[in-house]
Amino acid sequence: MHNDHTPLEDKSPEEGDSSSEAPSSGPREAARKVSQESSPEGSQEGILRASRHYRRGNRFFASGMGDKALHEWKHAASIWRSAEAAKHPLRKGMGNLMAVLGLLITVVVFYNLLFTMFPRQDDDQMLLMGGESRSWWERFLDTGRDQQENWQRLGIREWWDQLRRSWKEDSSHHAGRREMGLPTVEKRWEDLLRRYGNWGPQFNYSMDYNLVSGYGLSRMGEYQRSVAIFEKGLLSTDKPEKRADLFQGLANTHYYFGYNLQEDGLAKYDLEMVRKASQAYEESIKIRPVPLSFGNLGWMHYLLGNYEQAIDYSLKALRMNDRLDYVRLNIGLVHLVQNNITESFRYYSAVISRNPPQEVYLGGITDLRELIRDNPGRHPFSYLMLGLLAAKDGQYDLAEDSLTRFVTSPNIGQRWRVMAMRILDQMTTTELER
Amino acid sequence: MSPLLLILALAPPLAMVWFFQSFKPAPPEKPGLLAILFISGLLSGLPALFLNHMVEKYTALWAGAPEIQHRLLFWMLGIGWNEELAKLLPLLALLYFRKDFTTPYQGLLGGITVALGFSAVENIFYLDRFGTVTLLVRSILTVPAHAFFTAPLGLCLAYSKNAAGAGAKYGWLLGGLLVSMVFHGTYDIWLSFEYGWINRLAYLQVLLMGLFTLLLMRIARQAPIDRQTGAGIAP
Repeated sequence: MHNDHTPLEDKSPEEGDSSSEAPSSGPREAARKVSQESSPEGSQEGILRASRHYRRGNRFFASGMGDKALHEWKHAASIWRSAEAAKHPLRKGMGNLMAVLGLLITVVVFYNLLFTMFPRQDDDQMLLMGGESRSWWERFLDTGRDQQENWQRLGIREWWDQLRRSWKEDSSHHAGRREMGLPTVEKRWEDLLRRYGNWGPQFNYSMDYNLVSGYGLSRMGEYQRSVAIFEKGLLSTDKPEKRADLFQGLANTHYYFGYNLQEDGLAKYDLEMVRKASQAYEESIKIRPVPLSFGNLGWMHYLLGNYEQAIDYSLKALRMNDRLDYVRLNIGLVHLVQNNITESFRYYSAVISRNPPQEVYLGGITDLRELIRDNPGRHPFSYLMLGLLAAKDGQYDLAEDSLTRFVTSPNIGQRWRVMAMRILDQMTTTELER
Repeated sequence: MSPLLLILALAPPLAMVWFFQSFKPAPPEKPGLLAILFISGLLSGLPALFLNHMVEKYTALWAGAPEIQHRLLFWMLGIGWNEELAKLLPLLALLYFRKDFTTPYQGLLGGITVALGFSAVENIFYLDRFGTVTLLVRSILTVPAHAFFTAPLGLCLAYSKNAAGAGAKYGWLLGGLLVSMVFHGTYDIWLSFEYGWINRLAYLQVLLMGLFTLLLMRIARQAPIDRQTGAGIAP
């Protein structure tokens, strides 16, 4: 259709040469022209100019100058688009605004999808909980992730292996062991790594498979195999950090091997296993003295009847971390067993005044119930402490029963008896109000 | 931080702003506008930090995630998207709606200036944390990299401004953001590998992005300007 025109067609003096349109004389002039172009009158002018460029392109084309023709047509199209948009100046501004609003909506949708499609796993999310004593800002900053310096950057081989495994699992999604409900060995490793690799205070990505599998086996109740794996791991590494992790894993496994939960919710302990656990913990703290290990050692020495060591280790744990309320309960328990009632009461009261989470009370109550079970009638003050914790925890029946037993016990002293009766009275009032 | 270290951290990005400004076709960009864009780039570090923190804290995506796909997505959709979005926000607020924002090179220069402000605040942070040695590496690698990530975004911003119709404008904006995100995410992925030679791919990418930016500068400089209005024209 362009051949329908000739170079002479529509020619007028002012458009005979493309240079007849003087270039913009400067930014002010350009701005003025932009403003002019933005007006409806300017848009009419723009359309006229576009048609002139279009016809000029036709003439170049007819003369065999294809490149110049193309340039003119492009220019014409551009001017035409601008002029069309300028017909409605308000709409032009609205177009920018709508584009930006559209983008912002896209951004919101994007984040919505990102946060719903890749939620943090529940067990991982638990790392964010607790630490209520920290400031709001500290809790906000805490991602529950490891520090950047400790990330183990994956090598290309690990990346490739993971990718291959991922493809393989996708392709055999409904086949083989998975269909039978049995995880593949790789899947099991992956699960173990996910479950234990980023869990707990000893979070460390440089941990090895011995540690991961040791914890995995321990969790599955295969304690002997778990112990064997941890011991093998200890033989295979000289790195102090890894040895500390492995000793800690070994200690936990021994402890749980000797921990037998009874039907009444209380535990019985194999003291030989507790002794092995304490030995492993002692090795661990030589390398990495962390408050948790000291606290656990304190508890194990209490179970073993080494009360002085139990208090020593527990006090060390508290000096390192003042927030360990379960350690305070352990110290109170040790003093109770040693008949240091005032000291014991001081520690129990300290815990209650700190208003810890419910699980702390539950742990303390369980320990006291175990003490009463193993030593019937020997520690009457354990009923007082039990009553205190149960009342604070809202277990009024248990509290009332314990305190009643306490006030009816012989040889407890008038001061303690009066105090227990006062608590009983207060509790009854509270119960009535409730 | 001493004033000397602050100057050391700010000098490479400012030198690059001067470099890109010197190639701008006349008239030169207003120094005040460039200063505001640079400062807004410095401040855009805050939303980027916040967004990265939220993604790391509340999604399964983070740099140490055991799953490879989560790591990749973190670099791409987490860091790449967040940081480029944080750079886009001041561009939209301070440049996009200006009447004198008309030519493609203005967009390119604006995008690069904000990106260099962003890299400057990173420089200050890393200098404070890791010392002056990192500044050398960052000046060679990271400062230009940030400029090159955002150059396409700036150019697309200009094309969006000059495009006819809200749909086309939106398309340019989103397209620019996605291209910058891919550049940024890929660069971070190379650096997340353990092996040195894979890390070196980041250098190669910066080199290629530099060449691409030169191409964009050429396109932006030669882009058709409506001689009647002085305005840039969308392709």
